[in-house]
Amino acid sequence: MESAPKSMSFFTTVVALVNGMIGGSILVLPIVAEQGGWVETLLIIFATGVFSYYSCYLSLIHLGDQTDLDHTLLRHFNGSKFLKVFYDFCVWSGITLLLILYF
Amino acid sequence: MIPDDGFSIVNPIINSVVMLGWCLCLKFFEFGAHIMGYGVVSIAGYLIFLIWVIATAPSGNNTVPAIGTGAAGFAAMMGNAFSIQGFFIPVIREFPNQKKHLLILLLAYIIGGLAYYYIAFIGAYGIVNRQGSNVQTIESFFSAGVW
Repeated sequence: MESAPKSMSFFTTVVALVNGMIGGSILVLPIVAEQGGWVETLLIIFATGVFSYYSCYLSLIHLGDQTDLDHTLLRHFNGSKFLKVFYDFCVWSGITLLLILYF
Repeated sequence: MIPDDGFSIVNPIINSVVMLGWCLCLKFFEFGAHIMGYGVVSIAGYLIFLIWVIATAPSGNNTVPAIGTGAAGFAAMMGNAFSIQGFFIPVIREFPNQKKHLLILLLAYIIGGLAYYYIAFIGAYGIVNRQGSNVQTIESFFSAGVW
């Protein structure tokens, strides 16, 4: 018999998020930091960290009792699946255009 | 044990044995299941490795410029590095007290940011005088089998 899933403690939740955040980029970070310079490194890590935190913050405060962001967006569009799909299409189009710029 | 040319097959063998023992140890204590311990241990191991990198840095002009090149690529990489939007909600919901969710998120970003600062600065000053071949990651400065 399987035991019921346990909730995580405060510390464990923080560690799990940090663990998910820190990935393969740490192998490249020393090289780009050395090329970028120490002032650039200070500013870029701070700025990107703040922007990323703020987007998560916005997601969290709008989450309410929903289980994930998809459900939150669907509720935001008053349950209209058409608007949700249109929104996803806009996001997809933006990413595709950015990819074209990359090449 | 260490040949004159600095290359030794013993190095990767010891690495593999230690890593296997480490994984068995983590499994025995069920550390991996509780806090994704394998990832945490690999991050901690990397942070320790960077201490060795800077401690053994070649002598010379160990200075990093204030402003260098590649800001756009650096920012794009860091934007991706900080990105947890895709998975953080199910994880944070594992903690039942919803009032503390914002605090948990803030702490995760503070700890993650400090870890990135540590890796960037210790790593940058550790490799500044090292010679690597086809440098893409920090591993390029440390060829397999070289002590």
